[in-house]
Amino acid sequence: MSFIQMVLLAAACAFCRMEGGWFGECKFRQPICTSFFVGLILGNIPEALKIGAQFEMIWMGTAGIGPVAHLDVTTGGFLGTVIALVSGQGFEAAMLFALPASMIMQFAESVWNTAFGYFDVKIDNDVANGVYNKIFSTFMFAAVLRVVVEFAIVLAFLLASNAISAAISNGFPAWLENGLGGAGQLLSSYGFAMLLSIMMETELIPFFIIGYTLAAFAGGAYNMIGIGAIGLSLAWIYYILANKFGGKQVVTAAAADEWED
Amino acid sequence: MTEYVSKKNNITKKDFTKIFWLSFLMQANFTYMKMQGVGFCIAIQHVLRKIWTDDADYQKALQRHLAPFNMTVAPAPLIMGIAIAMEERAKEEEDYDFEAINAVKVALMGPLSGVGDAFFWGIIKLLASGLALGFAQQGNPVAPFVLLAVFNIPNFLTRWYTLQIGYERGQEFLGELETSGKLQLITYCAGILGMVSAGCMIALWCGVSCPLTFTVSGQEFVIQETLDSIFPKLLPLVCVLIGYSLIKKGWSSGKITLVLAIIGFVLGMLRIVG
Repeated sequence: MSFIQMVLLAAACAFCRMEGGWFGECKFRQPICTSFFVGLILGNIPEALKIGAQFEMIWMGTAGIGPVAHLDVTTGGFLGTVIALVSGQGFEAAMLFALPASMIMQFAESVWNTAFGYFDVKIDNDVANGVYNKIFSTFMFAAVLRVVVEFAIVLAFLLASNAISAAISNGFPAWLENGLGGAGQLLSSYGFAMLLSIMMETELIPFFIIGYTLAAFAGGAYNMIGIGAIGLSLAWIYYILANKFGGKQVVTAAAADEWED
Repeated sequence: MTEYVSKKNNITKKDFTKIFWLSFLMQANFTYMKMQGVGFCIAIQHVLRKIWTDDADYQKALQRHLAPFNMTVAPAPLIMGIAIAMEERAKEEEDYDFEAINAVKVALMGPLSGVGDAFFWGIIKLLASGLALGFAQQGNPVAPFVLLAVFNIPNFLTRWYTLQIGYERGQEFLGELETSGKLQLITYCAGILGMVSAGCMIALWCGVSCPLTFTVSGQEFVIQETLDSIFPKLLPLVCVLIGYSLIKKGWSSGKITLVLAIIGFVLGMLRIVG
């Protein structure tokens, strides 16, 4: 990696990380998107996307719900993909860095969320003193500062990463590789578990079984789009019937008091 | 010619377009103190200025909308629209109860977030990831564009239309949907699609398998093949359900990740999983 590539990577990572703040959660943060940038800058998009796809699965269910810091899948997936490409060691190597990175950055996020409250206080004071035209600029100053902080952290990591990837490029011993492979498989199941925990309700279980059985027992004959079409039809049928015959009020996730960040 | 949304306060269509774009910035400085409160305020600040020409009134309006605020971001413009409608009414009516404005905001952000989370995190993001995943696994560069398009078309449309609906129909809108049970019905139907997709994705994408083999009297015996002949993709389902029950027990995501990583590592080392 050249220095210019590192700067570009750090900028791209900061960009993806901040989409939640600047572009209204338009999902640049997903590993499929972050890995695309990594591939673009390092010149190997197909390989980067394959690694990104695996991260996407691990973190399928991570959702930014509620006013707390969340597992930072953006920085984690981004750095992991970089390491995997540079060291040539694939997803297992990527995971070894991505998991701790996502947790450390989650912690960092909660620190920023607290520290940047300073600007909220400043805005309150300004308004109380009759200064009304500084709300936007103060807010945006804080927002830019957060991007710069993210950029600096990622760049610092990348500067150290040449040494890291050189150390692991000779390959892992078999036990470590097997172990990381197993950890990767179990963790990919956790992503789906998180997803279920957002949506699952007793009354929806039959539909889960339908989707699962169609995919598992048909030996791959139905893909996502086919099964999605069946799901859509089922939802449609339910809607028609409920409109026609009424039926009891369903209690749904809408009733749950989950707040989004 | 300028198109007016509200002639009496000189609020133009352009002002509403500005709210739409500013609403994307709502979390640019998310903090534990006000959460998205400042983000909410900057999005409607220019309209507040038009409604309240007197400085003292304007100050109070700003302070109202600098209150802590937090919800799913995509439908948040609905509340912005409602807030503006209420501010306009407050200007016209004497002894308007200003506290009602924030009361409505707080009352709506809970249920709206519930619906918004179910839609945007549970279903739209799931579909976007799911459709893009197949391409990404083949290394096809179209993958991120599929993901972004599938997610953002509903994201943009929701923001644009909820802002208009919020302003025009005001508080009646949600109340109406809720009393007629339509809101719950729509959410439930979306849940059906989400759950079918979730079940399908676990079977298609979640790759937990068992590489164990035994040789019994000269014949090789592959555990995974036997499992597949009885219940294909059983292991992914079991793992997901274990993870699910841990989440329901209230374990934190960090703790579960750590435990699964350690157990997976040990099982992988022993070649039971891999």
